[in-house]
Amino acid sequence: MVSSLARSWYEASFLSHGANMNFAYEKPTTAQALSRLLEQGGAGASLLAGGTDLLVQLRGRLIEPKLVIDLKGVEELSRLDHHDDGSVTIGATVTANRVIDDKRLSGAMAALPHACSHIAAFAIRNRATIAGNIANASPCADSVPPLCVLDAEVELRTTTATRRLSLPAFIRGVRATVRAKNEYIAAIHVPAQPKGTRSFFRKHQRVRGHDLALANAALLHDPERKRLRVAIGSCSPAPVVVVLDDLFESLDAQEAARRCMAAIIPISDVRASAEYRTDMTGVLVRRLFDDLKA
Amino acid sequence: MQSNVRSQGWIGDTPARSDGPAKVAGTARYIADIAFPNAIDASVVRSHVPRGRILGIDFDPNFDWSDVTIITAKDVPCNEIAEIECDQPALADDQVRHVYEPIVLLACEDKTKLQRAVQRVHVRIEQLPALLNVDDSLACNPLVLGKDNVMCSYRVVLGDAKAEIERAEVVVRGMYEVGHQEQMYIEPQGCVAYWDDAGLHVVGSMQCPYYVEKALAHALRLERSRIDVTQSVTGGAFGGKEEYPSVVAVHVALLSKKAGRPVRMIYERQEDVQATTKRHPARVTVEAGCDRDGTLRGIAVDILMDAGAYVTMTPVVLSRGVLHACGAYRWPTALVQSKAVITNTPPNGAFRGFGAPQTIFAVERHMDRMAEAIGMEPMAFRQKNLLGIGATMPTGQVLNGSVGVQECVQRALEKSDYLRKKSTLGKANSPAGATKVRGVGASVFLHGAGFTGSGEDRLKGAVELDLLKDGHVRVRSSSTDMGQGTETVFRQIAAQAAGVPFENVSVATPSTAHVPDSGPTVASRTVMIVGSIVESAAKELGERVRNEQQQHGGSFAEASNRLLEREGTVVVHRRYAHPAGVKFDDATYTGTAYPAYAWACDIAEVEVDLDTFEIDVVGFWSAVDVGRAIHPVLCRGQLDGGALQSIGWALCEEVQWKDGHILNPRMTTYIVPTALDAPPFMTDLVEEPYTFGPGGAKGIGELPMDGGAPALAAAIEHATGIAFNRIPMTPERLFDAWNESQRERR
Repeated sequence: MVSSLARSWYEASFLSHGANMNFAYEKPTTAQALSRLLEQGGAGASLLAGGTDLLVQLRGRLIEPKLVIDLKGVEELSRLDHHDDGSVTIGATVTANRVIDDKRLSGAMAALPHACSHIAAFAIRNRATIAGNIANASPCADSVPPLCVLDAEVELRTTTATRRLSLPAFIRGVRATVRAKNEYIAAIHVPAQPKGTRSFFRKHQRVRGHDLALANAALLHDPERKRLRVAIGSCSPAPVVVVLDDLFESLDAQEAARRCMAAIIPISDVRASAEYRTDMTGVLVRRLFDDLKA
Repeated sequence: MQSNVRSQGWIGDTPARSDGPAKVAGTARYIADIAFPNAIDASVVRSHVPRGRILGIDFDPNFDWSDVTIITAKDVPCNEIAEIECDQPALADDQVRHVYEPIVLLACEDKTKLQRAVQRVHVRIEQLPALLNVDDSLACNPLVLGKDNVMCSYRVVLGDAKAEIERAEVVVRGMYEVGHQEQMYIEPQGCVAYWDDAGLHVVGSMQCPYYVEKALAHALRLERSRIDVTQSVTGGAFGGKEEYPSVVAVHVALLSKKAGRPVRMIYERQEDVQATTKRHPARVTVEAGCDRDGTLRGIAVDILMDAGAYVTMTPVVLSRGVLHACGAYRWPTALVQSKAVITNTPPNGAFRGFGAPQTIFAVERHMDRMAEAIGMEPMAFRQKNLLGIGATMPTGQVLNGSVGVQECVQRALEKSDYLRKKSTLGKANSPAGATKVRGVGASVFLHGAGFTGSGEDRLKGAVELDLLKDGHVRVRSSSTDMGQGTETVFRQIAAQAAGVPFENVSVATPSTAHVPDSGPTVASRTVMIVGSIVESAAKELGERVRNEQQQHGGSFAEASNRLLEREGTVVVHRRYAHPAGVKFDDATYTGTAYPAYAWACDIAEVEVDLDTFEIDVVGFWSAVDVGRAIHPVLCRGQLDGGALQSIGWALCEEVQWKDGHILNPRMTTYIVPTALDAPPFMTDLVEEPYTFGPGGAKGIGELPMDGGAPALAAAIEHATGIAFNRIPMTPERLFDAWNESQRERR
């Protein structure tokens, strides 16, 4: 079941970095086998998709799993499907670069590939997955604000059950989600958006090269249902979604910025103070309105 | 003056970098890439308090220590790291003096077990009051060194500056502060040690193999003949691998001896940022007087540097800071006083610029303040007072050649269109409600090449050149290539002087068993000082072959082979000696501080976003008097890279501290500029040859680090009206300062 080449590659990379090597590695090829392994592994199992967060955690000894289950052997998890009704399914092992390269993710969903292009650097995006970005639940995850405004849902599976949760319901706080130990993210479902819907993303960071967000935000404008909303990341333990439907007609950017600044609860850390984050959130929201009006 | 003229021969040409293909193809073998059969890995148990008394070291009895090699202070034959002083122990014995101080060394074949073992060592420490910053140290709260916590102090006196300042029509006072800076070389610190019947072998990432050899001989009480230190391909250093590799090397050598097998220690990034040396933070107070027409009367500078817990290179860093504190100007009187104080933070050490960026930031900002006080354009004020040939510097040194500073200023002003931008951009010229403002700012500066004062005379660096078969030449020197291009430029210098093709010259791997001590690869001295003896040795080697040709005919290659046949080996040995008249008195701090200076003018143009306060460097012009560019592409590479490092220090790099711990010891938290943040560099080479440099070249490795911060501060001031006397000038600091200024206006 496990390719020896894959095993040796992982062993080599772990060895060279001094991470804990005392775990079993499995790469199932079916969803059923994956679920069973996860059931057996329980709390000692870690899921591996791109590995861009997992390896950092292994190296830092933040986790010491007994079993690492690689999702990349399950073909159905690698799909990026556009359905006839306009909805999109992003499988658990779909990378950021695949989302960026998917030309059909434009218009209503443009904020998603735009946000993905801000995740880390190109080489990392070749491996990093959207599901992993969500599962890691870092407050500054760039893919989260657009998925929030697009009303995306996370599909969680066990051997026997499947459930779907919105992102705000899935992410509980800093690096905390409601995923049970026997559940894995199978896909992210982005619902079809009414005609004329547009979405935008902006990020504030310290350098132009890759950096974590001091604040990031996405805006969705749906003229058919007269919906207007903004999601803000990196300024609260969990993503903040601000519904601004009552500003749909006025498109009052100042008022929108004021409400968003009031909705967040940022912290001061080595990257920025809470005050600066708050002010930058206001700037991001005003600029998202500029993008919308442009 | 010769300017950008391509001469006959190799000097001034741009052959492909010798180390380029392997680095581009990924085949260069850095220390972590080299397989040492049977090698085991090593780790360090460090302190966790900034200052304390070690009460005991407990090894968890429930842990299997049978296959773990353990070294503590009592295992070190002579527990000192020999640098300028021997105050730093290889391993803390009774006291710890900073939070990352090494206490126990461990090595184990199983790397996972090694990591666990580190956690199973419990060092019991009685915490003592600590000096967390220079203010604690100055207040002697507590007193830990001598009678005042002062590690070293220097003074330069030219005339009666205090009296002259008092008599000046305008007097300006200011205080300027700069912080730590992490070198952030791409390859972290790493060394491997092994022993055989010849003695001790150490291979690693380093700038100065002979410094490492000296430290090993001292700590392990070994004869130098029993030690071979070899530099592996080194992925950047910037001064960070000047003295620190001595610590890593001593650690692996001790472990390897006890373990009886090769031991490898490669730092993780976090450990590297925490434990290794950084740029000295400084607080510089300046008082200066001039007349209303811009005539300088006198300057008094007071420099305070934070040395950290041990001496490392502090005395020479402070000394260089002192000698650059008056900038590139003619001061009729000057008084520079300085001290470096001890703190319970990791020892600060060498970093490109070596004290000069700290004091040049202060004097350049101060020149802007003085120009403002007398209502003169800052560059006009500078131009009126620039040093030139025949001028006297504060140490009494009279400049007698290779002073291209006026030319640098003229060219930079022209190319950047500074004066027009100065009058059309800026806060004063931007419309009300503008969301973006632009500004320009400039700095003028110098950097002395080679060791400070009498250093080169004491050191007498050496090189040896071998004649090889078919007329090839090999350069043997301990000057290392760490990415800056030493190997390539030495080949050019030797090829030109010997009269052989570039491809017929090779450079030996720096290994103390095989190359003479050329002195360390530091202080902008490699091209100008060591290069000059490479040049004269190569010249002699070429002449010997040509004499043989004249006497017995044949080609250069045939004559070489005959010489080798007859003499066995043909080697030219050269030692450096200062040109006649270069003398410095360490007691009075008078005389020729440096045999030559490189000069430059930087002009920065910034655009500030008044919503986010992000500072976009839209253009960066440098005109630099390099003496002679041996390899113009590599030379510009040094200048642009150094300027970017200064831009990082000025705008975003900041080590954040809490209770002696670094809060941001990772690349995600300690931010350095990326390629995307690099502005367009318009770099202009001015060539005022230095008589005693190879082909006229001067040292330029450190110079570009000196001028970026003050030029950017001036540009930000022009754009926003906010004058920073402290770096880094982050968007957040600008945001706060701007809000403050808006409040004041209301």
